Amino acid sequence: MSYEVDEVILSDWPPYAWPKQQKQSVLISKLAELDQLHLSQCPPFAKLKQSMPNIDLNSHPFSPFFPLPVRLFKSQELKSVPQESVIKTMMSSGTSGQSVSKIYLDKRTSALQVKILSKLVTHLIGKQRLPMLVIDCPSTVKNRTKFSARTAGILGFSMYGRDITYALNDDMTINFDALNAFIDKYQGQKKFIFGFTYIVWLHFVEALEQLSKKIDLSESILLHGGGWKKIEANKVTKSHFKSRLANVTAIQSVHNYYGMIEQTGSIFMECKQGHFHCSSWSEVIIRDFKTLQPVKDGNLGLIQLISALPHSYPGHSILSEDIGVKLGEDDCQCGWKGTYFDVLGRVKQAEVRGCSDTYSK
Amino acid sequence: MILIPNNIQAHFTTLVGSASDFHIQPTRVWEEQTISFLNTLSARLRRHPEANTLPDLMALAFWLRKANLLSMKTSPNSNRLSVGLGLTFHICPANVPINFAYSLAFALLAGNSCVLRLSSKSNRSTDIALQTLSQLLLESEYQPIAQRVFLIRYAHNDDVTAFWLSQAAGRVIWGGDHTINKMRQFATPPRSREIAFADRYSLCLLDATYISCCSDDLINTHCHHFYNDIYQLDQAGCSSPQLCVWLGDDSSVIEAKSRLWQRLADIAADKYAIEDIQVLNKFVDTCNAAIDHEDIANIEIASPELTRIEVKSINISQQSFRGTSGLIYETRIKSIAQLAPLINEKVQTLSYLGVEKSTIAEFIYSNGCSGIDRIVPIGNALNMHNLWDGYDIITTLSRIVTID
Repeated sequence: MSYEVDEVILSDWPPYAWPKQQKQSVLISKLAELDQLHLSQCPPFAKLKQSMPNIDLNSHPFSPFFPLPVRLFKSQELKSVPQESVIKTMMSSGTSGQSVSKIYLDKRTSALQVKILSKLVTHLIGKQRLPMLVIDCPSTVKNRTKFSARTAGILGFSMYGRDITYALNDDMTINFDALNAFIDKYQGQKKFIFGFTYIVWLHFVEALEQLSKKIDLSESILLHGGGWKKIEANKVTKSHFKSRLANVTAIQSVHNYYGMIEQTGSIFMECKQGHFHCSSWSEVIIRDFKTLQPVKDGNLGLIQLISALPHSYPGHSILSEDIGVKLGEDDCQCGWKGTYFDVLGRVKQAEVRGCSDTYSK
Repeated sequence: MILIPNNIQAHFTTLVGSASDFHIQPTRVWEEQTISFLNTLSARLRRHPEANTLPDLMALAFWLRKANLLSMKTSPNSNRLSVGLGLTFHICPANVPINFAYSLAFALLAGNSCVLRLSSKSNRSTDIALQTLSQLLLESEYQPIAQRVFLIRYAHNDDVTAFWLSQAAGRVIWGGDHTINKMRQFATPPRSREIAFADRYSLCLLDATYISCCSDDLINTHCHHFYNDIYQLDQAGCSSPQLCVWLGDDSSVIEAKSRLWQRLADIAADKYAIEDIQVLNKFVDTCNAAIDHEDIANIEIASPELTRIEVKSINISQQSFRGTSGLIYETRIKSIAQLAPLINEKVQTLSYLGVEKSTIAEFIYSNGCSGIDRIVPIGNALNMHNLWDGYDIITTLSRIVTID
């Protein structure tokens, strides 16, 4: 089939090598193709594009791609393939907790997600499969009835490791037997560690601190993600996280990633300079909180995320509820090309007014 | 006095009043002392250093003035006595927390003792109102009133709710359909009364010819009034307009729209401190409407404060499209009769500008409308009144004794 040729090309894109002009022309032509696909295959998306005005007062290369608010994956059924082609439906509770996002994946999109994630991860940790420590409990993966973003994340990243060891017991305490066995076995070797940010912090770093224990996971690279929201109240900053983690585990190489379940695969990796990077398959546009117009670099705004991967649902251009700042493009000290940016949290919920909803929880 | 079982008392916290001093003795309706108490509360609230910065607190303070209260009083009938029911229990709204004060004022004026369950959500205005009320009730002069006021807060607890509902001769339920249905599952005394504020829908009717003939000054005045109706409660009050219906021919509607919306957007930009999340919520609502609505003519995101969605026709399904923080639907009709398909029992307030009262009255009578409880000039949509949602609140919360 014709698209297979196209995908060989798509997944052969180099992650961070193309300069701005080359990347933009390739990415935008892919996005235009995706936009046409979703317009013809996803009626709600077509209706949205037809009814909504163009929100950009001044056009820019990405203005043809409407920033679809991420919450629409909760209220609408956004699907660009027939139901029988859906092989997996990803669910996420996201912000409000009441309704869930539903992301419909077909074989093609699902395979693309795996391929591109693999390109990004191996770019960071190398192509060789490393011994892998997962900072989570085994039941997260065993209990498939609760297929959450956490399960998906662990399973997804486990493909890049071998001899996968879970550092936590099912009650979320540290499994020292397993942990020490892993450390002894791979002493002096390069190791890959993966976990969700808040779990690494609450159940690993803080737990070790409380027990006054130190372990030696030097020679490891930690990849963590999933957001800081759950530990926001603890006032954990990025540098805080790294220094206290290094203090109890001796892990020196720490990379956060940023991404949304709506754009699984084309995640944004943190570089050595501590910034998130767009790859060839992704872009971010920072939009003013009030006017929704793109802002100048260095200014805060809502993050619009672009991805070349979603073929089975119109998720190629979404407006998140996260606050970000674009720091620059192609000139990060780390050497990777592409837009680099920071994420600073989520838009604050307002005091709600109105006449209804006193008793509902 | 009322005996509150220990297991009930353990589950609520008292904000104002005390269980041991609380008395349930109906008094006469519109009692002089109650009016004077509320009037003093009004003065204290107005004097609060923050009052000027809090429009909802200021609105409450002005509403509590003696002159305003008396304007809602109907003339007494010599063959009738009016006294309170006794104990009233109020479930106050979470999303307009200051409304507890209106609920309390009505029930006191109706001669009742009042237990109010306040929402755990509060805001600055509500905190100030509570604090001022609490201090005033400590003054010796107002002890008889203090004994009739008991304000509590508790997390959702069916036992506590069931207890008060089983005791109350009258209940006032704010919070919409969901809360009303929940409250009706509890046993209540057979002769108890209920005032229930359900989810409602409100709109405004604007005469295009009138507006296109207005001077700029007059447009400005009208727009300030309109601004209050839409923005003061973030358009989330039941009586805040959701839909603007333009009455007139094509050319006058086009002209009227451009004048009114431009001025309103300017006023809102100047006065309304919209938060980031409100802009985002509005954008999300607009996108959902773009997909869900079957009859959109145009969407215009005019400014962060104002989004307009023009629809080609109106019927009852329009009521499910609601905006907040300045998301207005609009449509055009050539004669007022075209409003009829939109009106059912859910419609509460019709605010109007430039339309003759008699025209609207004729419409209400000739179309057999099951809805529309209030018809007010624009600017008055949010004005709380004893006659609300089709109820005479004070009369409902009191008992008529006939004497011949």
